[in-house]
Amino acid sequence: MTIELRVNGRTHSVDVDPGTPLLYVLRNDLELDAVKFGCGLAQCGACTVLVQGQATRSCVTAVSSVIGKEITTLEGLGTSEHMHPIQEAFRREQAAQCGYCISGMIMNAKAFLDHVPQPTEAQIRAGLSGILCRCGTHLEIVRAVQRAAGNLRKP
Amino acid sequence: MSAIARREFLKQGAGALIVGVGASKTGWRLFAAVEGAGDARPAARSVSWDQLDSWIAIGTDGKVTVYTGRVDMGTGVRTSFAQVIADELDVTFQSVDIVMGDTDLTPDQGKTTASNNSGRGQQPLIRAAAEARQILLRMAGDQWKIAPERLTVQDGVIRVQGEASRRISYSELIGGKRFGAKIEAKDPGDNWGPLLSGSAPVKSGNFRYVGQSLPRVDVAAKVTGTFPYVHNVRVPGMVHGRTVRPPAIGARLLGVDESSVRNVPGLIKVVRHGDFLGVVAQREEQAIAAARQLKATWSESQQLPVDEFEWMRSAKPLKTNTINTGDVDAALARAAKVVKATYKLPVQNHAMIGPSCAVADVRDGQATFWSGSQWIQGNRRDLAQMLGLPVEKVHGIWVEGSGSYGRLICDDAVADAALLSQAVGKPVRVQWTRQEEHVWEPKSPPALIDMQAGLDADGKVIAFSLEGWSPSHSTGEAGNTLAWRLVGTNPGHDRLSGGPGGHLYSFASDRRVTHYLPEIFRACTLRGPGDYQTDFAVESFIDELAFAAKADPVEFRLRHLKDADSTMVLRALAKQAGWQPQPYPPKINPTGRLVSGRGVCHGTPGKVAAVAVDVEVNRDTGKVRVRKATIAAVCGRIINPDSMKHQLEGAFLQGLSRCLLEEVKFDRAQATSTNWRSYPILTFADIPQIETILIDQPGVDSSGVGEVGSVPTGAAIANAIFDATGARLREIPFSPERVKASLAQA
Repeated sequence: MTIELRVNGRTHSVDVDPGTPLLYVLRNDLELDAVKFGCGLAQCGACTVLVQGQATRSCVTAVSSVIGKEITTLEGLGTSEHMHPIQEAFRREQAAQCGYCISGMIMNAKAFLDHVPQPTEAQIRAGLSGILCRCGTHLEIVRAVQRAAGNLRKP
Repeated sequence: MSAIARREFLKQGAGALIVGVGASKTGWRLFAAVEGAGDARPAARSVSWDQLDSWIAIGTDGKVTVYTGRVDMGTGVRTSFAQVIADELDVTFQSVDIVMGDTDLTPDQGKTTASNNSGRGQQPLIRAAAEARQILLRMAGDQWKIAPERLTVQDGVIRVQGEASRRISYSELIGGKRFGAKIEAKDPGDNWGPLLSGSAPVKSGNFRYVGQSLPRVDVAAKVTGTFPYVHNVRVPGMVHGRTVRPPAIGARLLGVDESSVRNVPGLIKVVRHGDFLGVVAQREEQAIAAARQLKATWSESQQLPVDEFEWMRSAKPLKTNTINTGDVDAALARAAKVVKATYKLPVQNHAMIGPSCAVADVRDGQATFWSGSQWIQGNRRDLAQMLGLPVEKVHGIWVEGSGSYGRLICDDAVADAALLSQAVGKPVRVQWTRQEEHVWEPKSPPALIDMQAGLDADGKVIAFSLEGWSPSHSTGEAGNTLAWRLVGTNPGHDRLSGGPGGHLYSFASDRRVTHYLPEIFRACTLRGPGDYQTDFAVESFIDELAFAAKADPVEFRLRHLKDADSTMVLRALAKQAGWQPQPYPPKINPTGRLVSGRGVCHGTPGKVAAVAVDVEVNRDTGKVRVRKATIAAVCGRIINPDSMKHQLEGAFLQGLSRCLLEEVKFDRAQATSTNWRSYPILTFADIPQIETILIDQPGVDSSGVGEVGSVPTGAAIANAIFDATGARLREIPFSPERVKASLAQA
């Protein structure tokens, strides 16, 4: 069936089964490749996107359940030329090795900082605890979120 | 992301990506060339080792392109290679492009493994750059009739010393043209590619970029979602495949009920090849649905051991290696004290965050594949043989994938994709499911290690004996993709690697016996293969000996170390970590719920790093928490200190995760650890503070640090737990149950 989706401020029309996980629609129909398949079980967070500002695991979210809602992917946050302050903070801290988890990390960090703008380190760790990283980039990621929180507070 | 932004990314100087070029409305169209390079580079190239043009080209635009068979597995070598080459050629960092892992474009440099990109992998690139520089200086000298010794180079422009007026750039001399020069190449035959030699001087100092923490060239794209991973490869006409695996290792496919998937929309074909079973569908979610729904009958198979450690002690070894110095038995007989202990390490997973993924297009007697393989040439040879194609008809294009830590030395997904593509005559993309990756990835095999030593009356080790049992860490390597094994025509495996063995100490008598056992699970090297296992046993045992000798653990180690690098690293660590030497009784506090302790651990030959950790043990729950880690490492000349630090931290955290949490559970049929719940890894809550000590040796050639931070983790933590509680953990992982059981015995 034809489904209309609001993604990164634009409306897209896709023809898919309504039960299709949002992940595959974002990647394969809209070619928004930042979002990644990690487990399909909502365990690792690599597929995290924002739905109405909430961090959402797109691998277990049926596309029909997000019709009419505002969806944001990493591509919608900022570009190489105009990075979002969180992306800029991740770049400054060099917070990526293989980077497969990073889209999910940043989207999760965005939702988290919107909710907790001045977090402690312990809050950041708790806030990101559901996103897995295997390269061991955790310390740079925590520093990036701290830096982003500082940058976002500046006028 | 707009097509323009994608293009712009690909044009950014050093490290611009060679694949995934050509953004269009239909996504990435992949071809093996750099967009925008135009005709700047010479068209006809060779990939022969002995042609300088195979390694390096200078464009009419002054861009330097270096071709390497080595690949960046997320460690940052794309950046560090460019630093080294820019310095060797005296060009700017921004002018260096690195082309990696394309079998039509890059020389075969074997496997990207063993943390040796920055050593062995880099050597030919440095040599080629040095030879190219010398040829260019000679060309300028000939043109001006001036001896090359009087010429200098800066930013790719040659000048005459003391003369401001004469200058000529590399691109003016050779831009777009071939060097046409031979270079001497030698193949050590170890699948790590050639070593090049020549007469040009190679720099050993006065570097502009080497030693600088330049930001990595890939990070900006990774944080904005524009980085082209292999998972994003999309070629025209591509469809999606998924596989259906046997319910047990060794189970045979008895029958397939194709009617069970007849109602799946988009289904193109059910593909069967021996015991290989897969489906192809138009859309990804359709392929997933078909693979889930397909009914197949399999024979029963119960071939795994009930207890891998009991099995290892009783199984007949394929081979036993013995290294013997002095007379261990005689020394043990006269020792004042004899100490014995047995250490156990479980089966573990590489546990990539992104499951295996590849695209293959097998049509008209040829094949092209896109893969994140750590050994694109190995995968190419395997595919050719599996498909019955001449190897020159198979083109492999490496595209960076998920970090793989050894797992992608053999990319399984590409063999799946190739069989499926061959069956449907279309390019097929396959990504493994999480369960498939956890259950079927080639694993790190278990190890069982018996240690025995004799101390004299002064607390000096006079006899040291290690006897270890392990299956090879290479049975899932070349020739052994899962698909090929299931088809049943693969050549098998005979490479033995990763057996327990070496250490850095000097003992008067020393015996190491390594038994290689048959395969339990298909295995591939995991970060520090063999070293991780050996070091846990040796460095735990050295601590047990220090305790027996009532010595300080650092001082006791130094007493037996002669190797200069090892001694230097351990001393630097002790100083930075504020190690207070004291004889070694553990600080047992039987009343406290939370007790803390400190442990130290040293690396293995070729993996010279040392680690000190502060741990906290909850005596009620058995939970171990590492509060702080200090890591000292030496790797010759440091190319990029920031990258080195990140590698050490990452390796340590992976090692920590392995020793606190990771164990593949299995029944007689197959692995039962199927996802992140049954095979958890370390998360943010348990990440300690980490301090790194980078010891630069400017006069020594660089070596890699991808493994050194992982190797000395297990014993450091076991030793710290002992210091805190008096309980000795001799089996990894240190699960709360195991810690509690050990506390009860202490």
